[in-house]
Amino acid sequence: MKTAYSLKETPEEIAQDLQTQFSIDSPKAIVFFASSAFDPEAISSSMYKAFPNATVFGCSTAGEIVSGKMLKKSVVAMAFEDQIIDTINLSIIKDVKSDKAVEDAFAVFEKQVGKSMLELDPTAYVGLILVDGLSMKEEELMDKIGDLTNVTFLGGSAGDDLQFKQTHVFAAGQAYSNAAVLALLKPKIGFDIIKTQSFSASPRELLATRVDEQSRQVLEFNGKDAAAAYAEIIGASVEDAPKHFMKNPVGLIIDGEPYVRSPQQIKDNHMVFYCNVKDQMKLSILESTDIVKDTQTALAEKKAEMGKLGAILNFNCILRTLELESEGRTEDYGKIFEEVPTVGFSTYGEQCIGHVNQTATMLVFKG
Amino acid sequence: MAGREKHLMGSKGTRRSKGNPAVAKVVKAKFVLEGINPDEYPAGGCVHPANIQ
Repeated sequence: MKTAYSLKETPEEIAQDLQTQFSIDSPKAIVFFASSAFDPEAISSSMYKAFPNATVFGCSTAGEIVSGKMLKKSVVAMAFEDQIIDTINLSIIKDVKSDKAVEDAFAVFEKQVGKSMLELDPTAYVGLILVDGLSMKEEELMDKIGDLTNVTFLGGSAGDDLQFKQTHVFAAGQAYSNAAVLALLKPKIGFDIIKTQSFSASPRELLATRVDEQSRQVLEFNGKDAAAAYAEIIGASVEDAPKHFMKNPVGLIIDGEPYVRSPQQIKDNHMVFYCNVKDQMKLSILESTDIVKDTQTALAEKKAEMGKLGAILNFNCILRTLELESEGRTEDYGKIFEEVPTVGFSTYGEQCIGHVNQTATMLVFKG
Repeated sequence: MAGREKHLMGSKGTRRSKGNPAVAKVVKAKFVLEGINPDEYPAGGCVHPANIQ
């Protein structure tokens, strides 16, 4: 697996630059993550033209990650060569709000692979999902994906450099909003998943007693206005509660592991989250730990399990990136991936089993 | 009906996982993320069996 990045000015120059750096005759697939500073149609089209025989896909970002670095206003890319990937298939969901979005996308895969998605061996196949980060449809997509297959799909929600106006996914030379790209990979080498978040669960819990799932709002925790209940449990005033959001989000604890739900804002005494909270969901108040140290540990543990790590796709939450930036530690985070070919981006949400926040989900290939 | 919901959840997990513990773990996590925690239905839960497809 090879990675490259470009800081050139135009989509055409960037695609040419990446093509030169890869110097591979005919990569099987190219995944790329592009700053929203670049025209989405132009970057997708240029990348497609630069690698005419490859499956080319990607999305817009809120910052890019490449081996050893966290970047802005760049395009990062990974080239999958023939000896790494047996097959790769793409399916584009052009309307994530469609009731049959996943079924239709999976029908494409089933036709290509010749098997039901439910029959596919999850140790032989892995899926990637890149989805419009402003669609608020990630939970529904992931729920449906989990209903229809045992293959793990992981990925990230596309970003737009914190403008929150429009995000894009890219496939086969086109750029789409309100859309998702699914990729089904059958690697020739070993692979595994990392899901890491830097929080420990406190014994303090909130029970969601009234919610509006569609708008990702919790109206009440513990039978009280959600904002008041959250403020009370962390020992702050409602006015000061947002100052605690970054370090004290809430988490659904499953087998001891937090699935983070991050508060976004207080609105009319309710709490708006970056992912939805179900009615009667019991959530623990989380306490932040060290992102750099925890990520190093997660990689070291995976390396101990797998042996040498060959490549990593890293979907890293923008809130983690903002925390690293505020602490002046982006360089330290980038360096964690210095020795392993890595690309990734700062996401507006991460996917692994479900939709989560303040997490990094990674697809790791064996070296 | 005692424990029926828990049994149905367990049976779905077993059917889907075919004995693969990693898949069983994922199926359980998926249930919990969807708001149904199998660990919280020891005897007579209140989830309608129709919701456990």
